[in-house]
Amino acid sequence: MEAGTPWVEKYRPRRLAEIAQQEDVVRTLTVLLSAHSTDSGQGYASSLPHLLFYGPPGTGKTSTALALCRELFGEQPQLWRTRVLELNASDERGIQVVREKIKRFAKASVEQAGAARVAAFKVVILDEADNVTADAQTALRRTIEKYSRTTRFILIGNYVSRIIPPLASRCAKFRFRPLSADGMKGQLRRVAERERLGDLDEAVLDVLVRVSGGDLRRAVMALQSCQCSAAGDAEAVTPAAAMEAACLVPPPVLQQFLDACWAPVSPTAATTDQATRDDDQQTLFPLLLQGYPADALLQQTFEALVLGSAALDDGQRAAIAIHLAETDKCLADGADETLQLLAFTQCVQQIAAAESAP
Amino acid sequence: MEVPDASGKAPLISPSSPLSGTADTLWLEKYRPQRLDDLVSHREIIATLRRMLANGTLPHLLFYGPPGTGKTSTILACAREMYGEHVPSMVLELNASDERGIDVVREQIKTFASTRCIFAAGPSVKLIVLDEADAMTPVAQAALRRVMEKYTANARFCIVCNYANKIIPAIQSRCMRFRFAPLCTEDMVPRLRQIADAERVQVTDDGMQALTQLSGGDMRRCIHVMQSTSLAAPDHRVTAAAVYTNTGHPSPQDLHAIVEALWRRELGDAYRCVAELKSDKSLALTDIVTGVHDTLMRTDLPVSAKAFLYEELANLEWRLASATSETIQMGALVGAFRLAASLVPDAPEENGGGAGRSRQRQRLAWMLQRGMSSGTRISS
Repeated sequence: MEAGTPWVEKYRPRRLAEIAQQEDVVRTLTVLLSAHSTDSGQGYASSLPHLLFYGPPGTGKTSTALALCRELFGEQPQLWRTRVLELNASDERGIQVVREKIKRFAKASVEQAGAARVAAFKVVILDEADNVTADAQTALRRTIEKYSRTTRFILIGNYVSRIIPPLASRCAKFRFRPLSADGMKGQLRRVAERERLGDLDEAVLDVLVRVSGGDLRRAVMALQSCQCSAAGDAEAVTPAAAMEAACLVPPPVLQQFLDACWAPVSPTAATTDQATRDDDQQTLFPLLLQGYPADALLQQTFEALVLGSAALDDGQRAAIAIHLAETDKCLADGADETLQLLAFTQCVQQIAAAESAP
Repeated sequence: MEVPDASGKAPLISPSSPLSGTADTLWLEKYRPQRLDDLVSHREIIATLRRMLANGTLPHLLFYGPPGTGKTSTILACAREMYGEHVPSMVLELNASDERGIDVVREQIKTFASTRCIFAAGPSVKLIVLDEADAMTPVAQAALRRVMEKYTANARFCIVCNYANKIIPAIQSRCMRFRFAPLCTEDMVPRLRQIADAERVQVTDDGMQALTQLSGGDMRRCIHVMQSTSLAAPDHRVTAAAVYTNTGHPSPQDLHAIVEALWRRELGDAYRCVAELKSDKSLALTDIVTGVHDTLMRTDLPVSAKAFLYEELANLEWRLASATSETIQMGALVGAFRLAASLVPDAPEENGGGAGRSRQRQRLAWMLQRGMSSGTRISS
């Protein structure tokens, strides 16, 4: 594999046995693969049902699906082209695609590959299937049923409840558990070792695990960008660098923003008020110019103000939490970051002032 | 079968394999009511239909109601009673998976409706079933108007849809309307038991309760969930726990624990508690929110707190509908509960606030509800 490959791809588990921490899933799949393959003469892995993988991001769902396909079809690229169709959220997946692309693929008959350990069917991997509209899922229902002799479907999603029941009931379900912190650290150490990063600092690992929230993909990604910016200097891989790499707002900048939220407001003196507002502008604009994403900022503000702050009481933090959620919604709808963040700081100031008033 | 098996070998999956997904292994198709007598609910509708069938005075029909309440099954059973073996030649069934633009109305439907069956032993009118008709474009529906009137002598239409208001008024007024309400538990349970017995699946009482509760009167969903749970459960026993695990919905116990934590615990604590449960069971926040809403209705919290919470939960659900961050939105869930708790004078509080404090809180909540936009509110 060439040097420029992202580590996420480079260290993606290639065999089922390499999948970390999902022992139940791997065991069941291995059993399904081996069953019927010898005695009944029905062809390799013929008893494999349609599958539904669900669980939080970065826990190995897509990797498992791809590893499974590798077990089914081996490594030949031309076989992969004809046998595996992978669709994720980046592809168009409306009802039209289900009616045409998936159906056309599913319909085609399977030619014999000759080799004994090659499954005689095709696989459609539908990544992020819980984002497919209910209409399209309904249309998929018939396709899955009709072509199940030649095509197996692997549906992947975060939440099983977002898959419509008629579809879910046609699949064997596998739940992917969130990775434990220790398990993630182990995987990160393994990657670091193979990349000759030396011994990673425990603090760096802690940061990586914390920022990724159980998402191994994100952690590995952050580790790589860490290493890139460190340019081979093992000393430069510090917790701060790890935070930077994970696209988080560094603590000093965050503190600046929080200070802007805290600036006391005196409602009687209009001039002071004006001054505070100007201060806010000054704090915010460099922040935005530095290009820190507003959603990361909100996330960290949430952790700092709502979960961590000792200076605020329960009710204040509750009110701030709701405001954060509203700001988040506005940003998701495409509102302007500067205006939203400014409005948010004002709200926090008011909440703080309202409570501390006699 | 349009897919020739390339190898000419035996089918890849034996039909008996439970997950092969062919129609005969789906309980839903296997146990679909065949005759009008098989339908377990909506007795008034069926009695009315029977009378009209007996008199031969069947009008155009409009069936509407939520999914899984037996609309399609009813009309298909009707068709079978009317035509017996002649169903294929007398009934045209079109659903959402078929193209149903204006062309289809103009050609396929018109051709079918305009021809008359001359050697029919039974009723000579044909039946056209337009399933999921609310997905038809208004233009196509408009084109249908005249067709319906003109060929009344030859054919009857049955329009099946979820929302009657998506059918244009001109068509509604040409049909006799029947509303299919969600099925009640008493009607569902005997039928589910019957299926379970036939499939030799053991369904516990709490499992049955979970099934009916989760489905909300949707029989189709109920049967689907029962089938997939019985396949997934290790000993093929359908228990309440298995049902909730299988569908990924929070169980009543989980929801109770969540509401309890939200109401009683300090903000950070409550947040961690809910977050842990959520990641542990892979629950979606939307399901938690709707579940909490249901649970809330059954608790005896003070009305003022409930009123506040209902509004906040509704807002939360709306925010979750677009791509928002689950952590932050979950924070809002916890926050809403903390504020609601502080609205109640004797609500549990860590630092035991007095009356003045709770007035402050009330104002805080009030401010929150009004959007916190102008600076005029802070007049203290």
